[in-house]
Amino acid sequence: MKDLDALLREDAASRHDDGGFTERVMRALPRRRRTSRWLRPALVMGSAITGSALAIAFAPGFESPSVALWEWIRAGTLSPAAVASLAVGAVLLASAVVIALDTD
Amino acid sequence: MRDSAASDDAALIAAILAGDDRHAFATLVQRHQSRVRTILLRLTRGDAGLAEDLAQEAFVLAWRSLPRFRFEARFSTWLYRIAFNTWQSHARRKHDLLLDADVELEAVSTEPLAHELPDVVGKVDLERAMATLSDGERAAITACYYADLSHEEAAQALGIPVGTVKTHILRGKAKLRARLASKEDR
Repeated sequence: MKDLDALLREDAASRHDDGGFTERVMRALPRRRRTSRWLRPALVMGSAITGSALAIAFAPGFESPSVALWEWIRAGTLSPAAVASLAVGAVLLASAVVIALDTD
Repeated sequence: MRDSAASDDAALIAAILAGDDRHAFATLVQRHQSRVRTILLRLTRGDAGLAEDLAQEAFVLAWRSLPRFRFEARFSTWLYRIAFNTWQSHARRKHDLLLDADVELEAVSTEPLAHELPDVVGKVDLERAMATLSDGERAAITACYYADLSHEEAAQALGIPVGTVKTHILRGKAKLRARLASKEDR
């Protein structure tokens, strides 16, 4: 007499001959893209920095962000250029955090 | 034995992740192909061609997903879950896959059944009997007996509650026993 559990486990352990299966799988495998761990974050951050620099450089009524930020620290006067600089900084920080949390 | 197989798998995975080692992946495929194909053969009601295609798809998916393997579970457990997902995706495309339906509806004899089956019962009889089970019952029995998953792991892999997995197994096994035992009467 046989036991059902034993019959199921015996069936589960039965061997399939490879019969070329592994070879077919290996032929179907896509090439893995070899990219540096830092390439993607560097590209994202580089694009963000370049875009931000161009936006500030070509903004109407341009004022040097460093001067504007110094004025804000020194006199507490928040000019539009200082606000723009702080916004750009916040965007870059947010980008960095998103990239850092993206583990894939 | 199982631990040594798992550590061998881990070494192969490390080689794949470090150097894109295709030979190491081929070794993993050779090592696990038999069980994955058996699981898919049972899930597909013995459709050998479909099981073969789904097994190949599962291994390709495993290759793609390997960088996300975290070594928290055994590689085999992780791979079997991919095989279950592959089957579920295919089955959903073909028909409405209801893994948690009809747990209460179908009447199965609650009379105590003999735990033993006639000696004449063989692999082919079991294969036929498995094919008569509902999707949920077949999937739950395959997960726990063929993929060696715990009830909790099976529930997670199939996306159904643990209680439903247990019910499916009880009902599925009762049906299998009834079907296989009736072989003696024929």
